[in-house]
Amino acid sequence: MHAMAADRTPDLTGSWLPIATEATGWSPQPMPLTSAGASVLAAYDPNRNDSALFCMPLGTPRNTLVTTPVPLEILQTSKQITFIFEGRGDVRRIFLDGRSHPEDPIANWAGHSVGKWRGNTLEVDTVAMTEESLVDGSGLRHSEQMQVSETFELARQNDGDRLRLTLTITDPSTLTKPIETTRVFRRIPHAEPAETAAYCLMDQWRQYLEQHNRDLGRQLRATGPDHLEGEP
Amino acid sequence: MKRSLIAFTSALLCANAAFALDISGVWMPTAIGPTGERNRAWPATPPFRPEALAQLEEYRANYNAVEDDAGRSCLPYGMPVQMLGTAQYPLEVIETDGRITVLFELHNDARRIHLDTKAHPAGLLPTFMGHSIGYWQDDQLHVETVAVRSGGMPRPHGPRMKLTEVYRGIDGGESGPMLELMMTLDDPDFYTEPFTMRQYFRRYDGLQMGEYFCSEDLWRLNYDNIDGEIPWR
Repeated sequence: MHAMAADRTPDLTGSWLPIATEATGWSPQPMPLTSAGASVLAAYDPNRNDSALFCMPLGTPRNTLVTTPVPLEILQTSKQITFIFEGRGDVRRIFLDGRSHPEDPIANWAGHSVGKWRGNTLEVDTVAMTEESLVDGSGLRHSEQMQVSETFELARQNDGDRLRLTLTITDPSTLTKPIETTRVFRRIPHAEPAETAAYCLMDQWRQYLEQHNRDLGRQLRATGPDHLEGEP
Repeated sequence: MKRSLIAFTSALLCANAAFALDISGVWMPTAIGPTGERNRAWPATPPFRPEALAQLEEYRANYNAVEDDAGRSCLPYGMPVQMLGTAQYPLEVIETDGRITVLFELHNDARRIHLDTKAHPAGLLPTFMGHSIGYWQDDQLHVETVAVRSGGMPRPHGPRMKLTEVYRGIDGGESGPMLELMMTLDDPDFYTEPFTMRQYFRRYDGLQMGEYFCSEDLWRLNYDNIDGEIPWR
């Protein structure tokens, strides 16, 4: 009924959990930062720059680099691989239908990803990621010229499947040469998702609305309701 | 007169002809069906129980536009309204072994329908989307959903709500292939009897799903001067 991957292609469909102890740091070290890259890293302020604190997505590549035990759900068809990250509700689509990146893509949080299979390994190339996102939780930033190359290799072990990710970043604005890191995920039984992203919004948005209501009230008293046309 | 009536009727039948449904892909909700008739989504006068109607009237009397609209508070609409919107936000259906996943552009929501499960597990925690199981029969997808988080004013439901959905492909004529959803809501806590709603979707092949993050305003309040912070801009 549905589009199955060809017989020899591994099927990544399922739920995966990162194994924190098998994650590696960036190499080479020290980080080959440009002076601009070093200055934005030094200026990093988690209270302002960390999208996760505002219930926004992590964006690519930070979403695949997370090592906290939050499931990554993968849906694989012959034309597309879809990642759903449970924590923030990030969704990434990796197009396998042979398309290229758009000529003048509009940057967003997930970026534009195309991929192809080489044996047991899925190779993914991603461009057009917004500069508002961080590369990882350390506060490392990037420009819109950043290119992310990932290989996802399926390894079958006696104690279950592993997915080995090698992730390489090229960004002339922040890095003098490419940097690389690795992650390992283990396959877990599918569990009904906890809709955690929604609950993030519930807490954070409530606080915002309370402030917003106070502001609206002040505005109403000062100017009358006519100025509130179209207010959220 | 009679002949044209027959022609009109057969055109109607033809336009509504069911066909083998390939549900995978991008769909856009639409308020207008294949022959120009409107959706019958949420009914104007659902068969409320008297106490439910009293709750609704209280909700309306105290309505706060900023706090009480699910969309404005950035929460998912959840079922059943999740499938009944007519705003122009697409959804993507992905079919994998034993499962149908629906990704909504609006609010970046996801819904999962288990085709490899015959019964709902016991002890489910209520969620916005609930727990859905389904099966294919005669090219129609049948889905049953329970364990939906109570609430949903002004289209309320309680903890015992059961939703039954039937999806079928129809020929939308000039609109191309369409998806018809018939959804029956059965909730003894809020309604005196089950009622059925209808929603149409148009196929939008090639449309790339966008991103939608409701808390973007919140983010912008704290982070509105990216140009000033980035040396290479």
